[in-house]
Amino acid sequence: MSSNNKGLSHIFQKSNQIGELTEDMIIQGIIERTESIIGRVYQDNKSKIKNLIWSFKNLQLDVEDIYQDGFTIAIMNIRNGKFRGESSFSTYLNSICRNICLKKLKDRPSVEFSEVHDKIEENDNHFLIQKLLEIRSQLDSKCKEIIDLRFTLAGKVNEAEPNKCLSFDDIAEHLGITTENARQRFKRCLDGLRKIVMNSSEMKEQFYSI
Amino acid sequence: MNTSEQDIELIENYLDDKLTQEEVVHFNERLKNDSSFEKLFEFRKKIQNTWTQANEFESTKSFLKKLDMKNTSSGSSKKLYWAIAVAAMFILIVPITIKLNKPNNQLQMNELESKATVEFLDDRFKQLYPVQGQIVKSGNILFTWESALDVKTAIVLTELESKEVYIISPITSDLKNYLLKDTMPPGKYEWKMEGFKGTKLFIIK
Repeated sequence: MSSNNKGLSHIFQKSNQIGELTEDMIIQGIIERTESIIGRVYQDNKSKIKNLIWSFKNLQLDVEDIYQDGFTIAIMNIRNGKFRGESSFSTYLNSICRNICLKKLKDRPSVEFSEVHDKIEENDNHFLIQKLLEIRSQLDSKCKEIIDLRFTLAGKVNEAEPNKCLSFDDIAEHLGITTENARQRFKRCLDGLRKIVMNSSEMKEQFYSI
Repeated sequence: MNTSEQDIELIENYLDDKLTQEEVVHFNERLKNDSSFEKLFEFRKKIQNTWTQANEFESTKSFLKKLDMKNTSSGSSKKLYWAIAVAAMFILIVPITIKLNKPNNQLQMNELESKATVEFLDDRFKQLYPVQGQIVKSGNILFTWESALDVKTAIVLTELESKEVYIISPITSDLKNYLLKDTMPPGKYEWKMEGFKGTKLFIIK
């Protein structure tokens, strides 16, 4: 357990004694990145969610992958304040995983349902992330590196301003190149990324929908 | 430098607060009047946000994978107990069940054999039911083998997601073995015979 989670350690010890984690403990454990709590919640929900995924007939789904994707989205939503606590974590996780399955089924309309699934709620965020991960693999490593530095390292340096960009001076120093080279490389790479997005109708719709 | 790269440079300078007051005014005017420039600016903001989320997604998922692997390795002794328990159950209970219910089971197997598509795992082995990839939803008998087996040969079942392993010692006095569906949790299974080449898949719902 990391040092910033000391406040929760006594709760977890207590929860071990009673054998149950309360909803508050689960949410706090996820926010505070308490490995023992996340691990326990991950295992506790696994078989139930696996059964849910298996209920989607005739579709060769990667159960483990969908469960990990769903759990990851749940964690991210909780940490980003998108989880409103209107249901239990378990129900929330169930609905996220169900939506991932439904999205996959929607993409393959010939597949039949093994039970009645009344509504497909889109999870565009997950869809966008998945698509971006796909197109990111088409970028060369230098482009990926410089975009990564510009977009994300500044957020790590200054968590209060997550959208702030790392300066080209800092990027240049990090990469051992001139500031002007860093600026030119970033421009070329971002334009390349933009062109890949423009060539994907689904991505274009998401990024140019204003 | 093409137009979009020029505009990207302008946007990056704006985001870095490198524009003069006059340039900022002009920038905002363009945002209002030039829809393609506005779209490029929106793209720039959205792509950074999604890129950051994608990184967070990757690192969180990677953390969960490691956590899962840790749990899997720490649960290996639990799996051993499972394997022993299932093996013991089959050694002790299945022969009794076969003897008590032989006429009915024989009938079920005969019925099944008449409908089954036979697949060969090896020259000496054939699987009658389920066939490769088939989903088992009901019925007591999952699959059947025919062979004269070495008593030490075991049937090894691996649940592909959880990697749980179930080992069943075959009953060599019978030329057919069968497995009760409800003794196995739902999952995607790979089965093989110890010492034989090849594997087959089936799914228990």
